[in-house]
Amino acid sequence: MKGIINAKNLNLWYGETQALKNINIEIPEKSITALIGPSGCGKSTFLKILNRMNDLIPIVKIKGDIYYNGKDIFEKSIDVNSLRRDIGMVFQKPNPFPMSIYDNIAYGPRIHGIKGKQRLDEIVENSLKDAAIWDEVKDRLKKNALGLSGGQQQRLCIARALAVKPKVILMDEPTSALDPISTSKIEELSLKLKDKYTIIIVTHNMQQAVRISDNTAFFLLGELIEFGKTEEIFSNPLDKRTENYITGRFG
Amino acid sequence: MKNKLFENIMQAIFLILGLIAVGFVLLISFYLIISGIPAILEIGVFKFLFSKSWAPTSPQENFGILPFILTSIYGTSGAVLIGLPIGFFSAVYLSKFAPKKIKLIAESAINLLAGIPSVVYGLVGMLVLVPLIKIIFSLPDGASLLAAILVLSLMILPSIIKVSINALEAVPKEYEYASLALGATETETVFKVSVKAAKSGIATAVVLGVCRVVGEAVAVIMVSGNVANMPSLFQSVRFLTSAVASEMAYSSGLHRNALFSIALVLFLFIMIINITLNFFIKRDRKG
Ligand SMILES: Nc1ncnc2c1ncn2[C@@H]1O[C@H](COP(=O)(O)OP(=O)(O)O)[C@@H](O)[C@H]1O
Ligand SMILES: [Mg+2]
Repeated sequence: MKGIINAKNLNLWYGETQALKNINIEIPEKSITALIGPSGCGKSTFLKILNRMNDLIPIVKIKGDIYYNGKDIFEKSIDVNSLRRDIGMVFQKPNPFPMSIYDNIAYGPRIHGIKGKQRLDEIVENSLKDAAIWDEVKDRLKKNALGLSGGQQQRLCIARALAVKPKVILMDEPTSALDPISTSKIEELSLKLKDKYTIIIVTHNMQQAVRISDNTAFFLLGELIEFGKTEEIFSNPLDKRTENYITGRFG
Repeated sequence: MKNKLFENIMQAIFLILGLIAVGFVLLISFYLIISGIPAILEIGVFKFLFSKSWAPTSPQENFGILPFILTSIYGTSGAVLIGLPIGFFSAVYLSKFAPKKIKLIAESAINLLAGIPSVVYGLVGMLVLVPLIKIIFSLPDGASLLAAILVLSLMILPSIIKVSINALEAVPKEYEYASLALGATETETVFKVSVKAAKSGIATAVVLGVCRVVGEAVAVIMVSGNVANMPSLFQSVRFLTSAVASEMAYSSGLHRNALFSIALVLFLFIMIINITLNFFIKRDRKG
């Protein structure tokens, strides 16, 4: 397994406040990497930088590099839109578009120039199947997506991300707004998806990290304290601060 | 106990205010119908609505309001055709692309524009636009349907822009993030997600605009020449509103009653527009 995403001496500031401090991490391909740490430690910031959603925040300043497949994502020649097509994102709060279920999934492919009903139908069906929601929605593809339950909406958002055939999927606490059943559905789904995709997931839920992730990164106050195999991080952490966090002594 | 009493009193007050509002609408409707029907019956519905000549004071008097009806339709459509796209794109630009400073300046200008009384629009139209049209198209007189359309489109701009901006800004940012994260450009995101999500709000802007235009009298009297011609872009014309407003003062008898009938037609006009547009908006919202 080689690293698909590499951060090298990465620093990030919001105005004057530094949110990421000299991060070095190599994220392996086709596996699940969990980002844990107390709130405000920079997990979301790190995640959003990977598909350059930070571009939308004008006060952000960045020093250091991130390589995706060996290419520096901050370089001028990088096409942000195709980077984001490769590195998809699922948000904390389910955010389907106020359109039909079908149009939600077809949105991405259409944006990227895919036309023809047959091809789109195919993509919609496959994406929904891959996101394990096809059986629940196949009879109401033309209905507004906002009519789905929260858990279904989140799986729809995963399907929408899959529809543009990404390589990496970033998930920012995707289950924090969901009930336990929907949460376990999304966890199962993630485990299934890691055969084909690289998944990076921010989670507040330590059990979740243990259940689904291969590797875990522990962040604290903008620093990456420890990164390694999930079992090792949780059974035998090297850093005292990691141990304190996972045993619930702070955060 | 005291709170409960207070609640009840407040509710009663709101109920009464609501009833007063409804009562006024009914009163106006009844009044218009009762005073508008006699002349229509006397002249004949068909002749009144579809005869092309309006000559209330000539010896061969004739009360055909087709010129006014068509002028109002053309004038309104023209104003919406020009005002809507300009207003819509300005709103998109201001709410999604413009730098903060430009947005602030533009918004205060728009608020100012919205507060200007229609007489002033008419006056400026009369002093600037009408002579300009006369020169550009070398017409004997610049007061025309074209002048009216241009003034009306300017008049509806502020409300279309303001309501559309509000609708666009009410679109949750999460929709836009989702679109950008799929690799859509900012422009694609604005037009395919934000505008779509805001479309019923934007449609409301259109309804407001149309109603303002249909009901406008003062400004159009001043720039349209106010002559009862069949509508043509470069000729003087008269709208339904201006017919009522300009002749009421000196009319009497059947002529006066016919003016009430015009008001009734205008009223129905606005009702029909409102109901149809609202129907589409509601349908969209459900869909
Ligand atoms: N848009 C922003 N502007 C300014 N500061 C921000 C912004 N987003 C996050 N921050 C700050 O950066 C730090 C890290 O935030 P975040 O990455 O959201 O943490 P986490 O996801 O781990 O809770 C916090 O101190 C937060 O206040
Ligand atoms: Mg976060």
